[in-house]
Amino acid sequence: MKTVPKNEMLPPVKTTPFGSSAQRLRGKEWLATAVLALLICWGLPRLWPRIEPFTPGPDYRLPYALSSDYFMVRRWYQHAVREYPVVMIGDSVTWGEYVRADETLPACMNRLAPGGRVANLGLGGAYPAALAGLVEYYGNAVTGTKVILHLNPLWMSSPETDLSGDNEARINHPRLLPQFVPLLKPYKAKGYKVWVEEGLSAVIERNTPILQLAEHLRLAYFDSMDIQGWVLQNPAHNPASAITLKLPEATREAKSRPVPWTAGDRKKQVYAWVPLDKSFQFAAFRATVRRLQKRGNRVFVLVGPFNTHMLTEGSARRYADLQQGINAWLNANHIPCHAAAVLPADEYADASHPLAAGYQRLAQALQADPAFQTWLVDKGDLPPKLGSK
Amino acid sequence: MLFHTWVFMVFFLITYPVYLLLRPTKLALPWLFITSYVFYGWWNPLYVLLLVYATGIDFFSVVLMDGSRYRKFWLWVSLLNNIVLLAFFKYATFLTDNLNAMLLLAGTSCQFPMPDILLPVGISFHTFQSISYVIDFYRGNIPRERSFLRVATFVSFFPQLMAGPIERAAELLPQMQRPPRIKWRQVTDGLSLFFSGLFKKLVISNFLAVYVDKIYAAPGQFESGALVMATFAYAWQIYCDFSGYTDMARGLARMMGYEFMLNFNHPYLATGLGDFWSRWHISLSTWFRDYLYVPLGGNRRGTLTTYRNMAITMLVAGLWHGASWSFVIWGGLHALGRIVTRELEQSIFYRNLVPKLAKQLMIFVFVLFTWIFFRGQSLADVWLMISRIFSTPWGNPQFPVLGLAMILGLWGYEFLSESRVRYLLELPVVRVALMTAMIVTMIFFTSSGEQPFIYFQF
Repeated sequence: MKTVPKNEMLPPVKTTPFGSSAQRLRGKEWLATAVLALLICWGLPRLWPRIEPFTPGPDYRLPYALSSDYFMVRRWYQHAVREYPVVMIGDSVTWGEYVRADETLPACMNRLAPGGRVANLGLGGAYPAALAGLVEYYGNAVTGTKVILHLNPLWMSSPETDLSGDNEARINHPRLLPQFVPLLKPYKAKGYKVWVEEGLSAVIERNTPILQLAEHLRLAYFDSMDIQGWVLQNPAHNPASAITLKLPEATREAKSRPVPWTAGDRKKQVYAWVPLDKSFQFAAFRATVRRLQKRGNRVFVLVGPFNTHMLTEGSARRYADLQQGINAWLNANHIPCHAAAVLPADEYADASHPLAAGYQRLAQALQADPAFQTWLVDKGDLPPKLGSK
Repeated sequence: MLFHTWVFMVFFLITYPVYLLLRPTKLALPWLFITSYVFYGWWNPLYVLLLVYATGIDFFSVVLMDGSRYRKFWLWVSLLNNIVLLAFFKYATFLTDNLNAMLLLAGTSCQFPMPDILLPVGISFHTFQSISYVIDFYRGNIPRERSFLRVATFVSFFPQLMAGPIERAAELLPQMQRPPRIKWRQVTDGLSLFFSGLFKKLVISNFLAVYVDKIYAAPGQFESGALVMATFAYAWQIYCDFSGYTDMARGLARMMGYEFMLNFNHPYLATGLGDFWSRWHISLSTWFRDYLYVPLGGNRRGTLTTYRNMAITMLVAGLWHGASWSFVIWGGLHALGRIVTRELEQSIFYRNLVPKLAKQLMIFVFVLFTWIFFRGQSLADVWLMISRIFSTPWGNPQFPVLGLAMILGLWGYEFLSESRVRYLLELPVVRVALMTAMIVTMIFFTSSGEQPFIYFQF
């Protein structure tokens, strides 16, 4: 292609005045600025865990207010893998939506078998696709350890919950999901501008630790508000003074009122159940299992327990098919698993969350399962743990 | 797309390297044209059609004007087309509203339906830029541009498309005749302008906006302290927002080898209203001077005519900002202010004996007062605010201390910039420290809430 020679290019025009309130840096000054800024952006997120004390006690679960604080999630994962022989990853069923911290499934398991300590890595508001993103982007520390991965069938109960529906859905943890590929229909429903802008923001944030730290500070110290909003509510305060280095306390009490679903109208529900081969959530679950295994972890899958008392006959039949399909896949891939039996109706709070008695029963059933015991004691080729007890 | 979004960063990170590669070739201009249209079309693809249409009419008006006996006719074709576009998209609702009010006053129950028209972003800016090309050609100030692509790129050039500066054809078109040679200094200057502007927008303007929006949304619920502080904050919000945008626009253009005019020059240090308008939105004030004030006669026909021309110019400038009587009143107040300060400046006492600081404060307070009309959500709200400022106690405005620190910091910085000790701000260590602090602060100030640029609504 014909190019314009340099001597024919227009020389720089007489420059207009630079600017009114702008700093005018030269090349070397920009270099110095870039080095300093990069140093801060690189160093501060790494230094921060040394500055901010984090001492999770027994039966620790991430404070609900920090559910979207992936900087903190990563930190808790790192601590848990170091200190616990087993970690349990799951959604709010693992976290214990309707129970106290000492009544969750990991807490019940720890009481039943003092030698086997299980860390509660449950995340409120999560679902298989979000957990896949969590493990991929923030779960690098979960390596060479034993992982109980909980699968909640609720997320395959309809196209909406499966994220394979057409309508814009209110999604928790949207920043953990694939932003562009595959193109999720609920994203498409938002319109291209919102989708692209939010997607880019999510992708950039998950690859930029300083942005994760900024988000952590916002969630942990500014009541989940941005600085502008927080200052509006605290006009006389210096925002820096809000960073007390005292993390929000673990959520000891139940987040939702622990009332059995049987106290309500006990109406039977129709659930469509998305076929496993078409389910986006199940595909995400499979990807999580593979990723965990690839990182040298020994994975045990716990499925359910789903509240089939709520289902109509037709829905219950379809659910049974779904369960069979899940078991078939797990067995075909030699993944040790436990399909939780249905609990008594009054031990459920809703379609998938047990109450305290339900978790206790579930823990006992798991403890009594030979497959689980075999998996638990088998050290295999896992590296020894520093904090193993 | 907004300059302070990730989408724009990605857009520029693609546009700029490709532009640098294509710069020595004939594809550079088409690339700028395509990317500018993609930029504009991002808001709404239909806007692109409007831009093509408007540019086409202006381009061909000039073609037909060239060598023709009916030059004035084609000039008016272009002007009327642009005025009709503005009237339709920007003023249809305002005109209908006033027409309906007059019909009610006349005692009829007949009412025109309120039009529901989507205002194309930046229409006031690119139509004015286009008009300047047509008028400058008509006046013989510039030769006819034979390339439609060059004219279209001049009108749609993405750094200044949405909110200026309103560039003149005589300044920008020659720059687009051949590929510009870009010196390293232009790139560093461009980065400096861009990041300074980004800081002003992301940190200061967005921060102040939260307080301002809260107070101005319900002025009847607040006492005079909060109302005054909200207006004070708004003065800085709009300054940082608009000058921040301009700095970013100039920075982007400079990195590409193009020079945009200075649009803001410490306006709150003005010692008179004339001085204020030579420092605030300079591209607009000079546009109105050259294409309205001067054709009306300027200051060549005596004092009264001068003041009449000033008043007309400022009233139209007010209306340009928005389709509302409060903007017209805002323009009228500025006209009054200009006349008064012009008269005051005739007196030796005012010129030589009144301290500069006193003049600056007086002008600032006046401009502050006029911002109430600019920002108020309706005339009723404006009157309510003004009456409550003078009739309610100061109370506790609960103005964020951090906001005050930001404003005083920026004000102090600008004072220093025009003082004898400005060399302190130019020390390399100060420059590096400030820029590093600004960049790191921006990272922590990016909020989840989106605050579009104020002048995009014009």
